[in-house]
Amino acid sequence: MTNHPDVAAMVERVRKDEIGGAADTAKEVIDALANMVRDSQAKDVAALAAEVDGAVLDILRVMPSLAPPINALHRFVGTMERAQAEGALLAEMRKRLQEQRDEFFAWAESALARVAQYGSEKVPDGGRVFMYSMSSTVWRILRAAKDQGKSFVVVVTESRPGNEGLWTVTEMAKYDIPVSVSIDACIGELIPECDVVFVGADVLSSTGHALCKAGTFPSALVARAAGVPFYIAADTLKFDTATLYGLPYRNEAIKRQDVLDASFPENARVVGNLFDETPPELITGVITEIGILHPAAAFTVLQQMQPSEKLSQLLPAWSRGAL
Amino acid sequence: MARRKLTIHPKVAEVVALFEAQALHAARSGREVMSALAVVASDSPAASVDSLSAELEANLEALLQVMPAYAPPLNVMHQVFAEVERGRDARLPLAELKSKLAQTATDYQAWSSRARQEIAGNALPLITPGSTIFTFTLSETVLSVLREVHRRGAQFRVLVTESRPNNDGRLTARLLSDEGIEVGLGIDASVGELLAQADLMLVGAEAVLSDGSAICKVGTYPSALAARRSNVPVFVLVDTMKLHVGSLFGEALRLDPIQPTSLPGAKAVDGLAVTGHLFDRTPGALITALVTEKGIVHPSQAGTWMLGMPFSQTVAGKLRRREPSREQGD
Repeated sequence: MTNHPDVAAMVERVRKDEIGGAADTAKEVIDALANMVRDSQAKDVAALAAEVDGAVLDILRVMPSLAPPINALHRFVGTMERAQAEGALLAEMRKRLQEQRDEFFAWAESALARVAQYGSEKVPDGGRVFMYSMSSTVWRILRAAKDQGKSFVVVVTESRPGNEGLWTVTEMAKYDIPVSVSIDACIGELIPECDVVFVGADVLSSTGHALCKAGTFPSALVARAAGVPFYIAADTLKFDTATLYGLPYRNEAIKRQDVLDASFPENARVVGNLFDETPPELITGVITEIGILHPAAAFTVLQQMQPSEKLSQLLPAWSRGAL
Repeated sequence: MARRKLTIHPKVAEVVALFEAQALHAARSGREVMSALAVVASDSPAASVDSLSAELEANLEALLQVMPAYAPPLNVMHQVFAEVERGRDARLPLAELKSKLAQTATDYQAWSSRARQEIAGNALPLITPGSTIFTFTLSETVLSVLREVHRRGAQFRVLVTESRPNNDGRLTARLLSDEGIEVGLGIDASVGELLAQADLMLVGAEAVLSDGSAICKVGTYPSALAARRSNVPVFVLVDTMKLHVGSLFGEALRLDPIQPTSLPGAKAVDGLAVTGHLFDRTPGALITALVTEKGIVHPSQAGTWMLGMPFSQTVAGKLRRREPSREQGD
């Protein structure tokens, strides 16, 4: 049990689901842990490590299965493990862990800039771009392409039940990128008229499957049938180490009130989840900060991330809610 | 001879209003157009076959202006005008032609309800007890099959999605669940996940083209792709009046665009460009079979059957002069 107020506050925010996105959650996790290390009264490496381990357990107990904060923990705990293995002294360990914050924040920003740069190369000048729902990563790609002087049109659909596709409409209007919008059922007609499809992902699995907003998988099927390239835009924080160990990812059922009203009888049920899974064979490439990869490269990416052994051992119990 | 002013018959005006209100589905619109044209003919004060023909044509044009991408009313028009053309060529007396047209209309209504029962009969063996059936939007034909299976006491589950923008799928869910059938309703974006849970997909169609493709409510094509991906057979339930005979000669169907008012959440955005149409085209390669009143056939049979269907040059000429239309490309 951690006593540091920043860690406790962050854990509380995660528990109450008060943090906007997965990437922001990752930043808050690193920030709180770095503060805890800075303020720690630990007298030796073992005591500091025990403090970190305790905080990690507290965090995991409330953390939903979002890849970025788990990957942030891998970085932090992994750094600690390596420092311990090298026999680093307390001051050195403290320094390395606190540097994690600046490194992580700088890395996150440069990663998104690189994704935007590589992705923008796939936006055809004078072309039509289909994007499903909303993704701040894809928005950055389109902005980068616009900044390069490319002119193109964006096509998006509502993305029921949350209608996040309409956020894309507003965002494109901000950058003066022409955009047209339709209903989700129209993907069969609209994607074949486009030159390329970009979508963001919530999670990429070790087998190259992408968990994205519901409707992405049918969009990928249409793109394949029409021969339109289909790209997933995601920095490597979205690659989910837990999937390496066969653990399921988080999905949420669509709520009854989002589809049915009270006038429907009990035997009418709402079916379907908020996210669907797009298989790797439908994905042309995954646009990451280390380059545009085949989705099957996911395993290599996960290996390069040097996942923490200690954390990896905790993940099965974490995913069962048994920590 | 002074030209008599050609007016639109009140019965035709009624059907025009129904089309404009989007209150007619494909099969019913065929029946409505047939009975309207029959009433025009029987009420006609025309003194010659030529002036009867001119009067029918004026009413035809009013209907063509508002008709969506439905094959049955177009086929009805071809049938009626082919009859008129044959009568004129054979110098048939006016009274005899009028009586032939009246008979054609009577036969059509009887044929239509018989065909619906025969399709239901042919589709029944496709549904094994315990099946999960995916259907898209609302289809009179599919509903009648599901009701019959339920009446016979077989257990099954239906999956359907909203079918935006008019939410016809919700209506299907309501009608079936009110009758005690187990229904799961999803959003249109969920078709990928839902087809993976289904044993078969049953849909109706607005039209089947000579290449075996089907024009259906928008969203059917992505559903059929998802069905193929999951090895789920796709059956399109249509009577043969859904075979769009004009497609043999490249005659396109007019697909209505999605209206900006269909995106209520998007109102806040100024000058919003709304794109897309109410119908999409599912290629024959994704259709396992057409379930028709004549039997269960491969979609390629559509073109063969069309060769034997009535085709009127008068109707074809009017369609060519209509506003340029858009049909889902290849």
